Amino acid sequence: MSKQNLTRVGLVVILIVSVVVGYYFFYGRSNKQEFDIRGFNGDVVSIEGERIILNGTFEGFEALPGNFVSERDFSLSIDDATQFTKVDIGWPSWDEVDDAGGTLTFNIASLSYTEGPGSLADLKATSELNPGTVYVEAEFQSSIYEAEIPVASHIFYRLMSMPIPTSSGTSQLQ
Amino acid sequence: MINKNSTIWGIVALIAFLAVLSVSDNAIAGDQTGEWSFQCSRHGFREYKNCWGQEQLFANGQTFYAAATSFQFVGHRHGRSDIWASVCLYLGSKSQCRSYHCTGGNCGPEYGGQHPFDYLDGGGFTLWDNSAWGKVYYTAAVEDAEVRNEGSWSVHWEDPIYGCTDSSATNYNSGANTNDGSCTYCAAGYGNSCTSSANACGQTSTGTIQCNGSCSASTPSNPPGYGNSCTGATSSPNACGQTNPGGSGTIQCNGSCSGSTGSTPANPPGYGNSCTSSANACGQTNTGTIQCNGSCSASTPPNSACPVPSVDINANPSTINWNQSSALSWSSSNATSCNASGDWSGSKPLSGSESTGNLIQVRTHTYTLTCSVAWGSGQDTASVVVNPPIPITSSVSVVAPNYCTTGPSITANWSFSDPSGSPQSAYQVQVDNQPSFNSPEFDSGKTTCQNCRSYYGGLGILQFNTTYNARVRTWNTYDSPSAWQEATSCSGTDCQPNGSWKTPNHAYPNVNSPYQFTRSPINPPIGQPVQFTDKTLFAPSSNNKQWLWTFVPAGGGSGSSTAQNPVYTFNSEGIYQVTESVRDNAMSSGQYCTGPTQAVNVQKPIPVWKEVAPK
Repeated sequence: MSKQNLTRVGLVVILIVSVVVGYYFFYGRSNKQEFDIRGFNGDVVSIEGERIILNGTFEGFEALPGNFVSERDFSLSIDDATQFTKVDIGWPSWDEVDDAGGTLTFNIASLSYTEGPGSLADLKATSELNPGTVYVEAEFQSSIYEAEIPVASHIFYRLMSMPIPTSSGTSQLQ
Repeated sequence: MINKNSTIWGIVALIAFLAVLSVSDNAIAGDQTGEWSFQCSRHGFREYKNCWGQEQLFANGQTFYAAATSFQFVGHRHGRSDIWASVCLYLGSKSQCRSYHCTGGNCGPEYGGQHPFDYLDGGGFTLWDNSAWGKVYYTAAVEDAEVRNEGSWSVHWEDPIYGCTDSSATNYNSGANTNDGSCTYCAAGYGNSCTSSANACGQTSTGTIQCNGSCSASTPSNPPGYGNSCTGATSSPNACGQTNPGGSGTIQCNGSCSGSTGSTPANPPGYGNSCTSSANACGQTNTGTIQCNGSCSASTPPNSACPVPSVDINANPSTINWNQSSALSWSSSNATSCNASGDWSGSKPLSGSESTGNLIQVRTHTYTLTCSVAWGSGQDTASVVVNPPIPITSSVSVVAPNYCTTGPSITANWSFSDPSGSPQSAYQVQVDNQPSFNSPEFDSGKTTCQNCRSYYGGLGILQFNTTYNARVRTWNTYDSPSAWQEATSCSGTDCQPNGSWKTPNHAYPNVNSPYQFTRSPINPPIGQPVQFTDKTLFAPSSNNKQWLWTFVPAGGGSGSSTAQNPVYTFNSEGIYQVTESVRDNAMSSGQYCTGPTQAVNVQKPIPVWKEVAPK
């Protein structure tokens, strides 16, 4: 085979590859999907007015594309219709830790808990008192896929770790 | 200019580029590790440092099966030191916390120049779950101390396998590691008791609520036959067992029929009234009642129930002598006719009498009478026994003998006759000195002889000077004896009145052996004396006994002797007739009884042979 023929073959291959690549990017990447996402879960980053910023993941993110999987900051807002539910976990007391010899291991699932009405103010106070350890599950009436600051319809929140110890169990140490 | 090598490498680079693009969104199974970064420290007394923290477990955005967090919570005590710390690991639906609290020396040795950190805990957590989210939350408060988490975390993940990962779901997929939201759950109340809907009779069954919310209990089927057409209860039977059906209806829930119960029908006309059966042969009937079918319960009496004729016949006398008759008399009841059989025959009246007539056959005669009606008969028999005829012995007479020649004996004569003509078959003669014949001196016994009409006997048996009577009876061929008939006449010497006789009182020769005399020798030779010995029988009262012997030779002449037992010598050859005559005082003068003559053969004496020696 002459050099001229080899050149021709190479050009043909490049042409075919170009067509395949073009097809892939044109159809594969541009074929956007619509996802019905109705929740976002994450830790409270900040609360400003009626805007809450959470760091976490979309509800059901396991089934979402890869760009929806990783943790991120997500802003949402509330209105008068937004419901707040506070989950109070019956954490063991620090006296129980002392009674256990200074180390106590326990499963949160085995702890008792109660659900009661919450509020934005309580959420804010709890978050400020236990920064980074208040976990929020926000529900939305409509999909928040590619929505900007959607309004949550229901907010559940709870403390994810034992509260800061208090002096003799009655006063905050700090 | 494009040469060959540059073309090949270009193609390879393109293929590699495309491969990277194709897998960029796909998971790659494997492990991932990271370092903990939480730290909380405070130098100085009476002040606490509160710390909060969180750390994300990265899994490359993939669902990971496990999160093994190996951490080391270490503390650094500066002096007084008070450490409060808590760490909680969340992995999917699972979580675990560990809290620490130490004070002073409990937190380890005091701060040194090398700032050693003493382990509070080095165990960490190891949680396993299939999740795409894992996080650790920290809270801590330290006074004059420092605490931090050292160590590393690691996760293991695999490619997502979508399915329902909730084990409580009905479609739980144990092989899935990524919940795709397809889980379905049993309806509320699953497993609780439930009741089926009611059937037409309101009956239900009990079951449990199924996963799909339905009740496992099915509606009971209606009772068998429910709603089907039926007939009400049959009426109670009347006396004949007849019933009326009930009304039409349908089968109810309890199995009963809604139809009305039938009414009991009336008994058939006349039922139970008295009735009479048809008559049998003798007009008998039975009484009963009218049955359900109208018939009479009474059955016709059997003809065997009719009275059977009875017969009674008698013969009087029942035993008769030959050529006599008996009177038969009979009566019957319930009979319409009578017939005779046996030794009589013919139709007889239902009652009556009749003579048998003179019967001459010596046997039992039977007279049977059978009286009958249509349904039976009766029978009776009378018997008449005919005795054999009795022969007649008559004209019995005796003849007294010449006792000097015959001795005391008797000859009896009689006549025989029989009314039936049967000849004589035997006779019997008895002689007794008593008229009663209680102990006859002589009895001939029953002697078979058809033609005998006289008997001689008694010689040597009858005694001197005794009066005797004789009687005779005979038998005919029926072996029937006549009556004893005593002798009524006597002829000869010394007959007595009424046929008796008396033997003489004098001596008379012994006419039986050894006769009147004996001699010895029997056959004497001439010239030898012969001894004669008297054997004459004399009466015990006899006296003046006299003997006279005569020896008469054949050629004539005489010789005699009066000795009782003379010895006489015969002097010549020949036969001599020797006769002995005797008498006693019972005899009249000059009368002798002479016995039988004996002949003596006198012969020449036998020559005497003398043996002479031969000369």
